[in-house]
Amino acid sequence: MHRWAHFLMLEGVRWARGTSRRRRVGAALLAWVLTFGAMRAVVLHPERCGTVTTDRLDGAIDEAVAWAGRTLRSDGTWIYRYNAGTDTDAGIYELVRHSGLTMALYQAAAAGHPDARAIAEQADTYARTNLVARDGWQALAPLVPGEHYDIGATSLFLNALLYRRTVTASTADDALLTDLGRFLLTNIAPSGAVAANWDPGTGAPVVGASSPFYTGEALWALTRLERVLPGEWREPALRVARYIATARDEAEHRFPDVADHWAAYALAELAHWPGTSVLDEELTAYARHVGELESLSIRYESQRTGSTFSRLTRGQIALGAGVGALTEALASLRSVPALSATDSLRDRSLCGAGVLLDRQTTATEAERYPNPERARGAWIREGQTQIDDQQHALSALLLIRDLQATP
Amino acid sequence: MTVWAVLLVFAAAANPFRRRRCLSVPDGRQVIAGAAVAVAVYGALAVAGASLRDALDVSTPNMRVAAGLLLVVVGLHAVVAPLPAAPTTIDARGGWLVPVLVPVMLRPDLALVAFAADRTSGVATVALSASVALAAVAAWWCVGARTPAAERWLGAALGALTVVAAVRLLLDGVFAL
Repeated sequence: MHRWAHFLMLEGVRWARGTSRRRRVGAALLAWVLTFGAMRAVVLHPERCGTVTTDRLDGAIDEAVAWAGRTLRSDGTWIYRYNAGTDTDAGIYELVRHSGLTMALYQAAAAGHPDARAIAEQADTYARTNLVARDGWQALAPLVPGEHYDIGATSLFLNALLYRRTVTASTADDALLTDLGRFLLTNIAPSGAVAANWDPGTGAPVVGASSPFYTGEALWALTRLERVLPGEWREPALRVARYIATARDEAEHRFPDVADHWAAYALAELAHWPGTSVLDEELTAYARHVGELESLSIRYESQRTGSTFSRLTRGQIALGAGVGALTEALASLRSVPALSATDSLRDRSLCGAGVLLDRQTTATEAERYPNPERARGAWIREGQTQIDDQQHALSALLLIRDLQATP
Repeated sequence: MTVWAVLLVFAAAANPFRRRRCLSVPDGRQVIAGAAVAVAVYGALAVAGASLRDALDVSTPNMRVAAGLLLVVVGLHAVVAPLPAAPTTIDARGGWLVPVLVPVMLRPDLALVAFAADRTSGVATVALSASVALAAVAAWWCVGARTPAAERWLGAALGALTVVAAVRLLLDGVFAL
């Protein structure tokens, strides 16, 4: 046993007298080959980041937009969780992801993909039928009356309308934007914590209810609102940002730390606030921390291929929503001045885009499914896709396309 | 990776206290020659590191993770394993190659560290660290005490230090941008 251990550790073996030099060198080479072979097989899997070109990005964006158009129902809702293998919808729906995909489509429209606008407008019309006004604010009410309001739904809807404002160049919704923002304010605690839910029964935020992502979503909405309609959003936005950066993970018992792509969007927005930079040491350190977590994720994810060996050693590939979200974060963080010159951040965000491009269902691949029109352009895993897979992937590819266009 | 981190990894993993017995040559010049060639090779590996990583589709942080994992094993082995048996002394002109350069001075664990070097400052850092570490191996071979018990414990202590340095390298790779 020790003899083999010493051999593999290259500490020498008691050779028989007269053993040739060639044989000793050969034994050492064997130990090297075994070592590097084992490292390659177990640890150093290739990171498959694909090839990211503007043509591929534009094609993938158009395919994702087209998927959203083909799966939009006449009432303005989408197929929510779709089983491509059986061509069935899970029959569930909620407004957080509805708002998210609406927002992604307005992002696409703002980036010059004209087909996205009409689809987003239908989804917007549906969302507005769920608006409730109360106490000087408006919010998206839950689809089941009496249930708690999801802060995330209103946050993402507000973000969607902010992109719509850019697309339409209209200020007609400014009062609504303000009302939606005020609903978010009612859910922010003095500490900067954001309640995940608002209770229509008590007329107050649900104490102790938190979400790993709603806080960042609300923050991003407020940071954007401050740029568009400045005034009452600045202080609460900075309070939430500081809470996320310094206290959230501990206060909400989140381990490992949340790799918060929404907060990354917000940090990018804060970097563009006019005047003196608000990105102080704490916020910059947090931005770096999020970047580190997302970098780790994409370095790992890009090693997954879906093969049996890859599943055994790396697990199942992530959802399109997961790869999209981490790519959104990495691309957004490039706007943070302290990180903008970091080549590795650029490489990782491009890697995320490459993974997304490679995993989008092509027209040819879609033919394998009973309803190719519903499969084409989607990010399908284990035969299923959900609207947020397309939402996050689309947003991510748009961000990368923008970075490609402005090197 | 900072200069100090690389230096620590090389100095600990080179482990003069365990390697001395493996340098079964009678002539100190062969030890020095083998060490010098090894330093040059580590430097060359650091130069080639970026190209090799690109060719293998492996990022720098992941290479550091791999190096860290391997060094944890090397360090733990040095902590728990008895000293290697002293090989038969080789009195030949090629002693600098076998057994000095191969297998003692030129090692895959340290080669992985060299491969993981930064594109810019890494080559100088690796060359400097390898020089210091392998000079220490050669120096201990020349002047070191020959008490097995002392060498066993000193080797184990450097093994523990290797584990610490390896974990640091590992975390540096895991939490890299």
